[in-house]
Amino acid sequence: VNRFLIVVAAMVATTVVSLSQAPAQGGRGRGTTPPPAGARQGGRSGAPQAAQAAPAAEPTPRLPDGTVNLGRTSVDVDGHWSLQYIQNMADRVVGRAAAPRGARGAATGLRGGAASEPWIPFLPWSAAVYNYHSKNESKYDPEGYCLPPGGPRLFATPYPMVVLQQPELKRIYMNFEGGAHVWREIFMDGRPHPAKDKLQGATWLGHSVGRWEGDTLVVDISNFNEGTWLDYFGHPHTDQLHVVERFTRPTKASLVYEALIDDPGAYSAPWSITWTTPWNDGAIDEYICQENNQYLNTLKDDFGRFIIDRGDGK
Amino acid sequence: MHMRRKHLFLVSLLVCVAIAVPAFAQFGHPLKGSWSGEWRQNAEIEHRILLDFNWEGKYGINPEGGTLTGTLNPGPNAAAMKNLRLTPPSGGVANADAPWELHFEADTRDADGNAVKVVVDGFLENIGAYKRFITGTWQEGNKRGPFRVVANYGL
Repeated sequence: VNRFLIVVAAMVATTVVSLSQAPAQGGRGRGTTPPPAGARQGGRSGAPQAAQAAPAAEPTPRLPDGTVNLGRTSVDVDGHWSLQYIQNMADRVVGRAAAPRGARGAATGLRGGAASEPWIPFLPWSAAVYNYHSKNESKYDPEGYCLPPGGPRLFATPYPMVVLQQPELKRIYMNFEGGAHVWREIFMDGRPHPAKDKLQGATWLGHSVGRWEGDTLVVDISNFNEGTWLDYFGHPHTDQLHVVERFTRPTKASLVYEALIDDPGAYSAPWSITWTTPWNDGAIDEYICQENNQYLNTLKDDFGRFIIDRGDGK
Repeated sequence: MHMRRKHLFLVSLLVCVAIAVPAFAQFGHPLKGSWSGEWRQNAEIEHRILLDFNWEGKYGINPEGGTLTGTLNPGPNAAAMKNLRLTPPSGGVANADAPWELHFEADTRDADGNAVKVVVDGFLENIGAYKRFITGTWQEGNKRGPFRVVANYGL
C-alpha cells in the first residue's frame, strides 16, 4: 500500500509541476509547440533559442533623465522582450481570468465562435465573420502567410521585440522579429494624428503618437488598414480601429501591456486587453517568415478551389 | 520587336499584380468595397454592373451598429441604393459558411434613358477574403435575370 501511495503521490506531483509550467492558453513559449495549421508558415534561420531563466526581480531601469527605460539596460548584456503567442484576445480581456489551457484552442476543435465569448461586444456582422473563422479554424489568417500583424497583435506574435528610445529626437521605435521584421515609429513630440485628407492611405501598423503619464508610456494609434486580424482566432476589425496602448515596466524583467480596442466599425463598445511580457537577457535572433512561404499555394476557398489560379483549372 | 515588348509589359504587369494582390485583401466588413460582374437578361444579352458598398459603424446607432450604403454603377449614371440590407447567417459556428442575404433597390435609367427601378436579391458567399462573390436575381423594370458579381480585390 505504501508503495502504491508513493507512486500516486509521484504522479500527482508530476502533473502539478507540468501544469504549472505550461504556458497559458494561447501562449506559446519560444521554441515550444509549433503554430497551428493556418498559422504562419515559412521561416528559416529564425529558430529561437530556448527560453532562458528570467533574471531575479530588479527595479525598473531608467534613463539618465529619470524616464523609464523600456529597452536594454547595459552595453555588455543583450536583451529583448519575449513576446508570447496569444491566439485569442478574448482570453486576455481586462477583468477576466485566462481560460484553462486548451479550453478553446484550435487543436481541440472546440472553437465556439462569438457565442462562447459573450463579453466581447460583437456587432452582428463581426460575430458572423468570427464564427466563420472559427468554423474554418482561421485558414485565412493573413499572418499565416506572413502579412504583418496589426494593432495589439504585434505584441501577441511570438519572437523577440526591442524598444529603442531616442528622447533627444522625441521618438520611440519598437522592432518586432515575429511581426515579420516590422517596426513602429512612435512620435513623442506632441504632434496629433494627421488629418484624414493628409494621409497617404491607411497602413498596416497605423500612425502612433505617444506621451508619458508618470511611468506609463501611452500610445495612441489610428489609421489602420483592414488587412489584418486582431488575433489568430480571427477577431475582425475595420479601418475605424483606434487603439490606446499603455506600457509599464514595474521591474526590469516585466513589461505590462494594456490596449483599449476602440472600433465602432466592428464592436458595439470599446474593450480592453492586457498581459505581461517577460524580459530575456539574450541576443535578438533573426526570424524570416517570408522565405519559401507556400501557404497561399495550398489554400482553398469554401468551394474547394485554390485561391491562387494555378493554371490547371482546379 | 514591338510585340515582344508588349508581351514583356504584360508579363511584368501580371507578375506585379500577382505579387501585390495579397496586400489588397481586406478583412473588415465583408461587403465593403467594389464589386463587378453582370446580369443576364437572356441568352444573348448581358449587362455589366458595378456595385460599391461602404460600412460606417457608430456606437449605439442601431442594432446593426452602423450604416451600410451602396452605389449602383458609380460614375455619371450612379444611383444610390435604397432599402439596402445584408443579413448574416444565423446558427452560430455550425452554419457560419452559409450565404449572407443581400437586398437593395435603386432608381436608375435604362440604356434608352428611361427611368427604371432595380430590385436585387442575392447571396454573398465565400467571405474568407478571396474570391468573394454575390449571386442572385436582378430585376430591372420588367426585365429579370440572374446576376453574379465578384469583389474587386483579392486573388
